[in-house]
Amino acid sequence: MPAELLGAFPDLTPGNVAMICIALGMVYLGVSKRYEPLLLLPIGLGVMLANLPSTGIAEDDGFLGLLRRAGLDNELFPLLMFLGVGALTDFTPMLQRPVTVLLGAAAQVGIFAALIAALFLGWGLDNAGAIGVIGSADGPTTIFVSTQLADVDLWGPIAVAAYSYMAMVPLIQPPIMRLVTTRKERMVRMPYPSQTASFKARVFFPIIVIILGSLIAPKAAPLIGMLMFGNLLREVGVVDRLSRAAQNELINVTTIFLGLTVGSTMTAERFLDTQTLGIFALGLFAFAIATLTGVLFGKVMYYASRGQINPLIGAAGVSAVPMAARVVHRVGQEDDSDNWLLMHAMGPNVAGVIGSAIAGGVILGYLL
Amino acid sequence: MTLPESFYEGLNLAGTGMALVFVTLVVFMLILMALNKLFPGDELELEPTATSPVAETSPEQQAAAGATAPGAEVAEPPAPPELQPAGVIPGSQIAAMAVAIYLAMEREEQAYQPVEWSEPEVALVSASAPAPEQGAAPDDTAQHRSGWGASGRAAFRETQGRRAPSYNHRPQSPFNPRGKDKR
Repeated sequence: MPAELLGAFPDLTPGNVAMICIALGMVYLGVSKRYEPLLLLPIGLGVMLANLPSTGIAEDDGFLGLLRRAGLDNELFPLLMFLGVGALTDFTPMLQRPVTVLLGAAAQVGIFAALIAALFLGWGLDNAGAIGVIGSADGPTTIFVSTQLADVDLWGPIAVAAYSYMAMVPLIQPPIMRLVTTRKERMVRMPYPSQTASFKARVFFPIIVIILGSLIAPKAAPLIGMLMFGNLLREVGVVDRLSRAAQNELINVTTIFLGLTVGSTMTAERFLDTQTLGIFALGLFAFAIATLTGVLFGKVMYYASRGQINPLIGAAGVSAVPMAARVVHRVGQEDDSDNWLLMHAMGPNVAGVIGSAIAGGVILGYLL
Repeated sequence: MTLPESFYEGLNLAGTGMALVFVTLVVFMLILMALNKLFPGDELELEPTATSPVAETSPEQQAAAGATAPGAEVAEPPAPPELQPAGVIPGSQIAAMAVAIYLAMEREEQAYQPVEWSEPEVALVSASAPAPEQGAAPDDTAQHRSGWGASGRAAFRETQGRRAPSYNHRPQSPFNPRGKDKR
């Protein structure tokens, strides 16, 4: 039989088959289990397309290669994503209760703990820094940092680990939260703020954060700038069209491209490696430490405030907006079904987005 | 076992990085506090607890309203005031709203049922009928009490401003030449 009639079948390797199975697993998790479907579906399809032999689709001059060079190699897609995230994020809960910002800082310990663990396991400093940022629980920040620091082989596993664990926040966080809190602490009903956030405060805040954040961590300026620009579009109230575009069309288109291109980096020869397992293990470690330190700091605030702050909200300091806040709310309601922690947890949750961007910028500034 | 130089460098990075993150967010927290001081938002009104009207009335007024003493008992707060956050509807109000919605839904359902006008539930239907001074003829009470009358009025309201669909008209048809009828 002429080889032409067999198409690409002879070129199919066991590695390709394994990767296609992994891609199908991602599609299954996204579609059937609803684990981050917006990302796992495009990533899964990207993996599948990149691992079909003889197509050349993921090579530099292929379709996915062009997309990768246009938006991933130069960190454009994560930044556009952050613009949309900023337009979608409401910082009002944090503005109404500024002290919860500290919980967003405490949860960033996971990043640096995973960095040290990666170094201890023999990774290089650059790759360790990129792996540590998985603990930020923030997809765009993780991709932004890893594409600048890590070897290209690690981009895919790092991004997939970050998004996988973000999807598994409801499974990872509750046992840790229950482990380090008492029932009495979990049942604390927090008082609601006495005033709303004014229009001027909501408009000035993103502008001040852009200026100060960029001066403190210059390498974080693109992330913080896009995040806060998106938020400014939302808050000023005079550019509704732009705000809606950032919240919908822009972030949706970017999500498709980002997912496909990240998936296309996960070829069999790069992904099927023991180091991938190491990245996933370290990512889990980073998430666990981030949750732990967030809740422990929440306990400190609980004692400092004489029982006014529920320590569970510290777990929302890992960004994963709004999943982590929902998990806090759910765990709180297990012990007191009339305890409404969601809006209290949104403060540390959005502070975690800023904190992770700053942490990513600090790591980039130190290592680049 | 000797650790590589990069490990100590990483420790340095972790320490410096964590300190910077904390300092930055503490600065942001202070800025937020300053912004809230400079540009205070609107005060959120505390949920009026049932006791507040009693507390605001003078003792004389309370004495004059002696007949409402049982009501004052009802007005006992279900929980301490600090557990009643602003913007949160108390459970009793939610229950009242749920009952009201249920009754309204039941009323609407009954409006489309061909119920006997002599049954006591019919009064619910007639409650929505226009009062005589609003133009309804006084002698058509029986019509208003019937389910048919109510369903006819509902159909009229829904078709107001539109031409009634013609017989055998298929509004979902892609071949609808008008293409505007969403019904």
